[in-house]
Amino acid sequence: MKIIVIVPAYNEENCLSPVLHSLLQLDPPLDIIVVDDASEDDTVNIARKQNVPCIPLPLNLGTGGAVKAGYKYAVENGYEIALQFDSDGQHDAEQIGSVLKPIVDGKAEMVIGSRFINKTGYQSEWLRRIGIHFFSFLTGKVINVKITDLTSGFRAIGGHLLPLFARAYPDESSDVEALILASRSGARIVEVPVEMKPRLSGNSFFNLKQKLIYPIFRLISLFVTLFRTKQQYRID
Amino acid sequence: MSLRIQIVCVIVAVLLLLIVFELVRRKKMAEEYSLFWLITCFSILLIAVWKGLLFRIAALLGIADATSLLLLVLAALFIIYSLHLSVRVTKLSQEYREVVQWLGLIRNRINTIELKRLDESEKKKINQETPIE
Repeated sequence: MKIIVIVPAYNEENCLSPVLHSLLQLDPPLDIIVVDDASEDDTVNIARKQNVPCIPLPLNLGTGGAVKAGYKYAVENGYEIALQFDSDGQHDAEQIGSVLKPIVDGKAEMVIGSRFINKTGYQSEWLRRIGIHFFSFLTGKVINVKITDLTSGFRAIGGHLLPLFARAYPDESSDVEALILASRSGARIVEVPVEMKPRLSGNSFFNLKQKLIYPIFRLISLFVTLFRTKQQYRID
Repeated sequence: MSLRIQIVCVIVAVLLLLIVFELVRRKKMAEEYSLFWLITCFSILLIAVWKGLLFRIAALLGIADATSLLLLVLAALFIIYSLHLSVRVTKLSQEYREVVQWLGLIRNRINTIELKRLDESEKKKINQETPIE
């Protein structure tokens, strides 16, 4: 099966190089695409120096928009599975196999790598953790699957989800809405345990304003989602 | 309506008209959007200058207090219009995000093609430089 690793990156000149290096070491090798979310630093050149193709977005769209561009690339180039992998060094390339396995085995169309199943490794700061637990629980209830790490950027999709996400990946509150979209389209969603590390350097892209406003957006989108039909999701 | 209010209304309407005109002239507002504001300005002017109009409409609708009619109409108008603008902005931002994504994809493709060409021309150069035995 043709697999691609999508690495969304925004101002990650310090972290991207080791991340790409660890991905290039993988055996068997996987294709990689970096999506540069209009970084102001040298992110694009770092990807090019390592001979990794890069989608340079001309304007900043946020992680959701960057990942969607990656899905479009995957569909255009005939990939069947797309794995999302953070560019800040939080994820371990060694664990990609276990995230991909349920899809490769045909047991799921969407896999989320969760740091809260085995509760080992970096568990995030407490305020964010509470938020993640709360929204994971709520979203899990809506889609009837136990979710523990909603915001995890270590995830993979395959099957019918890849063309669907390339076309209709939600712009806002992507983490909540993407799960619900997937579930509505009939995808099987599973979580697998992974271990995360604190980011290598620099600031996380969440600032205080986003911390306060994102939860409200998520609540709205969760509530509204309950009343959406399949047609409104552009599933077919 | 006292003369003072009439004068204030005319001044406000004319000022608004000038602002809208200037915004369109500087291309900060599209003609398409100026229409709503032009109609608003002229309505204010009309009501201010033609004293009896507001009372006549109020009487026609059976509303005793003409000023509350004015408030009601204004509030309704602006609420509906800002809803409309929110929908438009959402649509524009969705379209803009799609365009940005495709631009990124196309830039990547151009880069790949250029690299390939560079590779090939370099190979050609090397082939030309090494004499064939």
